[in-house]
Amino acid sequence: MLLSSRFLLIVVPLAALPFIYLTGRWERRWNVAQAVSLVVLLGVWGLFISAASAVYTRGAPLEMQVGAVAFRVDGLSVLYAGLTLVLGTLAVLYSGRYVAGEVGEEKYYAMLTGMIGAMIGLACAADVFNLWVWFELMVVTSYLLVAFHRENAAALEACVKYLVQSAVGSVFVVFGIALLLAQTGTVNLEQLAASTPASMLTTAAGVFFVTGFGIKIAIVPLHTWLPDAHSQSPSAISAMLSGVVIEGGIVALLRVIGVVEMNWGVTLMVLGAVNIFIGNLLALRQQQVKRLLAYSSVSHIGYMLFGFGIGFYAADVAGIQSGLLHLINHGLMKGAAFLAAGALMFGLNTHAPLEVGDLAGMGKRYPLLCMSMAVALLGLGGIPPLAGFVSKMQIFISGVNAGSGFITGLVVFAALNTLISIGYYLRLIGAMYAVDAPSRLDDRMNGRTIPNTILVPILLLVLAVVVLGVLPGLLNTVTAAAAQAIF
Amino acid sequence: MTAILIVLSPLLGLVANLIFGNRLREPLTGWLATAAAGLAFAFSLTLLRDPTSETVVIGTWLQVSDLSIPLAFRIDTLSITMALVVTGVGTLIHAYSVGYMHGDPRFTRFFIYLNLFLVAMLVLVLADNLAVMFIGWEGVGLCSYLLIGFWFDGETGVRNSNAARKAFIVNRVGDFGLLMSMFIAYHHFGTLDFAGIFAALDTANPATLNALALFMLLGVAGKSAQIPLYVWLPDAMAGPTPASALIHAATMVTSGIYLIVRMGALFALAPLAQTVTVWAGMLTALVAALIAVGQFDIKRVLAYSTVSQLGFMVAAAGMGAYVAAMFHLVTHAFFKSLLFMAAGSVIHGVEHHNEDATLDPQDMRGMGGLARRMPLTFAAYIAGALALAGVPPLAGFFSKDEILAAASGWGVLVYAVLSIAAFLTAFYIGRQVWLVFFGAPRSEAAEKATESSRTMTVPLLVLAALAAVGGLLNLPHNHMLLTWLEHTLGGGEHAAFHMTIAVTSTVIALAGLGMASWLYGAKPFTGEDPLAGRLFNALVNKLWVDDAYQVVFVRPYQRLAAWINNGDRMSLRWIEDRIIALTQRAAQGVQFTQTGQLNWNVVGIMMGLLLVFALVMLVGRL
Repeated sequence: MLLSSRFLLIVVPLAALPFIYLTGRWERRWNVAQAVSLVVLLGVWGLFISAASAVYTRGAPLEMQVGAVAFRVDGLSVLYAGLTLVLGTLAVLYSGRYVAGEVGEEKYYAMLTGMIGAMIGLACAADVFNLWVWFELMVVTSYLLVAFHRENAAALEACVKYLVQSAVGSVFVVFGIALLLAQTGTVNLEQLAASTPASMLTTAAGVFFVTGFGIKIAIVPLHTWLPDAHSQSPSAISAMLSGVVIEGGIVALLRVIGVVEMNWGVTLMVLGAVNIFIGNLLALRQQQVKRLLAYSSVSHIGYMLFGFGIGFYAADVAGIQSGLLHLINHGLMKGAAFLAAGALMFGLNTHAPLEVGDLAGMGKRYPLLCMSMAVALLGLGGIPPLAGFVSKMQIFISGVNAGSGFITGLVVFAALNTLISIGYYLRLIGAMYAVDAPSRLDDRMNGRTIPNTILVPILLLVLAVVVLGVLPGLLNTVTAAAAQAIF
Repeated sequence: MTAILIVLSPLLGLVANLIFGNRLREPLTGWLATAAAGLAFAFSLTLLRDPTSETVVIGTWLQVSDLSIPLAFRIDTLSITMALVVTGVGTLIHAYSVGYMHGDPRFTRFFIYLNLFLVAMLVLVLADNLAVMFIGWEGVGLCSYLLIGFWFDGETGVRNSNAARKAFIVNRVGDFGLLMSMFIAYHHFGTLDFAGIFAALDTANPATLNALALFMLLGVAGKSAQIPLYVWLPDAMAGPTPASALIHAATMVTSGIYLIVRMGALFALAPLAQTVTVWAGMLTALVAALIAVGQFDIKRVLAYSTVSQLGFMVAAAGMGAYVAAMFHLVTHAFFKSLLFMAAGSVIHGVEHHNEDATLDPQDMRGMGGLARRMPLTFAAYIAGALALAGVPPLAGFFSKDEILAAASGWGVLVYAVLSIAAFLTAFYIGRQVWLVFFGAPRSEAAEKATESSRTMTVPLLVLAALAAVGGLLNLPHNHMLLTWLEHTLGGGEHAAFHMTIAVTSTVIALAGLGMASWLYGAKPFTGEDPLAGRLFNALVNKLWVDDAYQVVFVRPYQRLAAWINNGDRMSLRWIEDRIIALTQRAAQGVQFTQTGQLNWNVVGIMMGLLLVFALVMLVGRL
């Protein structure tokens, strides 16, 4: 099949990008750009659901080819594209009131939709060069979104750091691709997996991939750009960055890492453990809410890497599945937390960084919102019966099942780290509900009303966090198919 | 499918009240909750057509390596019976509460809790495996806690909250037992499904089975208020009376009996556990009946009576007389919820005109002569009291008689002790009727008391009718309940109707009532109990069991906690502080790496590249 209608799944959001921008320019009085984005995403949902059901019913990936560029929609594509669409649609919905009237509103929606399209492309890329192109496209769209508040110096600074470091990573990835291409003469992932020789150059390529994508994934010590970028962007974008964009690096890494013939298990586990620990320590003393959440992402990436590492080490599908489940759960929980933090900033009518102290009395003014935030944070902390608990527990269980004393030790270490994380999540929850100064409370009660378009996306995500915590089996098909695509 | 609808109805009711509660307000929210309960009852009724067992699997709840727990419901005659009792009595109590809770500032919240309770209780009785049952088990415990402490503010707030905590904590002890039994079951049988456990029972040795059953019995003792964990139930009366009637008389407290009957196949193979069960039930029946004689609080008498009656059921279940236990469970649900609701009506009537701040509206010493002031309540109370005492042909007579008949086959001692308990039952309820309804009013409030509203009296009369004719369910010669339950429990022997036992227990009941009327009716009650003496004083003080628990468990634990909290040398607190300080210092140390300088960050990238390379060289070939 050369050019199938399935291809529209990737084409539509990108083709819509200029259209959204132009309609936004043409009509400014109401959120026409947002409306068009939502309509486009609705169409993409239809295409996605049809593709996903085809993948699941056939039990085999859908292959597509345009010239030399190959695409493959498999279980992992469905998982990542699905999560992207969920968060992306809610982010667009949420942004309506959030960025209303800002300069460049129409570019915001165009870029956001384009970013979603790039991520779907990333999920479906079947050759390593193509994968890199989609990856870069995703990152390029996100640069502009990070610096959306361009009057804000800190946002620009964050964007520059993000840009420079991502560019370095991008170069590393190209090095890796070149090394493979030089040895095998192909960039197609399937052919590479079959023909890549075991050599020093291959190993070097692997190292370049881990480091290059690792910058995007925020593997310690490559994570330094993350807290700035994730905290300075508009909150819907923070949710996208933490929830799916950095995970894009993971998806890309999982695709290419199998090409390089060696056991990546221990490497990933060690990197994961370091990430968990350093991310937690950095979050522990953080006073800005969104920076704290950003550091918490560093730690959660560690849990995912840890799960994948166990899976690769023990050749255990359960480990991969648990890592993937955590990827989904983290996307939902962190998305909810960032959106809720943004909603609080909306209530206070400020773009200034939200400090932990600013949360005081918020529970009284915005009970539903703060409850949602609390549920999302408790989920991130791994408190049962929320989603984060289930996936962390599954990671730990597969670790113990691997039957190695070293891994069991790492599991204990990771579990103890959960305690540290509770230390900063509870600090946020405590701050929302504690009322230390009554005068401050009066001030809080004057906060803006949160519109439903902002509240509903948060509530939906929180609902998902609770439902997946009680019924984790719901996603079994999705993670199993995705794990199958990796092995 | 119907099973799902049964659970869903109250769930929808509570969700609707959560969302629209503020807009609907009293009494609409109450009627909404009542309708939800009634709908669940209607769905349960449709299950009566078909006695065959059925498993409804909704999906997988938990899947962890080889442990797979389905979210599944089991429809069989046993669970249908329980569901009918829960939803039937539940609906009446919902309706009654609309009147009883009138004017309460947290009116809607009360009905949300009641609906939530129904959801949890239905999950408990309909569950197809121990894990799902445990969801319901904990859920009803939570609702019990919430409802006991429902009036957590005001003058009695602290007392009520303490009662709620006591119930919760004592129940946790029982839950530990149930959890242990689940661990043992999973360890030995690899499954928590009822059917799976029963099929594998003969693969385990007797010691395992006994341990499993005994741990389960601990759970039963917690939930069904048996020795040694019964102490929470009398205090639980701090909650609103409808909650006492629904949760602490008719339904939740019987879940222990349901559990034994459900696990009947296990107990049949664990003779030691059976003996312990019978003894626990028998002693509870006797001790609680004794304590009930010495109580003056109208609800406390009924609370101890409930403990005692639960003892009868547990003893019967321990003997393997499952049908008798279930029969008594059903009739007891009728007459005890009736008694509680009638008592609530009495309290309501007295409270309404109470201007004396020192008078406790629940104290029977301040009542008397209410028969004339509240005739409907009185009629209902008499029906309940006679049924409880076991006077033929009311419901309690037939069910208690079946238990006594089974006991006579089990052993003389058991039969004798249970007969004494039956005598005490008739005596304390007779005493209560005399103190509350007869004689001259002993307070101004009692003098002015008025009959309660229609929403309260109508459910009373319905339950009174049920208490009167409930015995029809399993009359000696038609055995309707027996043949119905046989579909689930397997063929049991038709308990023969022993004329001697029936006559004896009738005589005992009448003797108890007669003695009560002789002691309390002959001359006017002065506030000094005619039984007053050292023995009676012991009963008034509940045999000092609560005080003993305070000394043996509560205080040492509090001292330990205080010591750990205050000790500033090598105590846990010290270690804790060191860990916190260490973590904080480490965090501080890492913080300095986050300089925000781009150059430094790129150095970090180069270091990262080298680190990954080194790591891959070191461990990549493992």
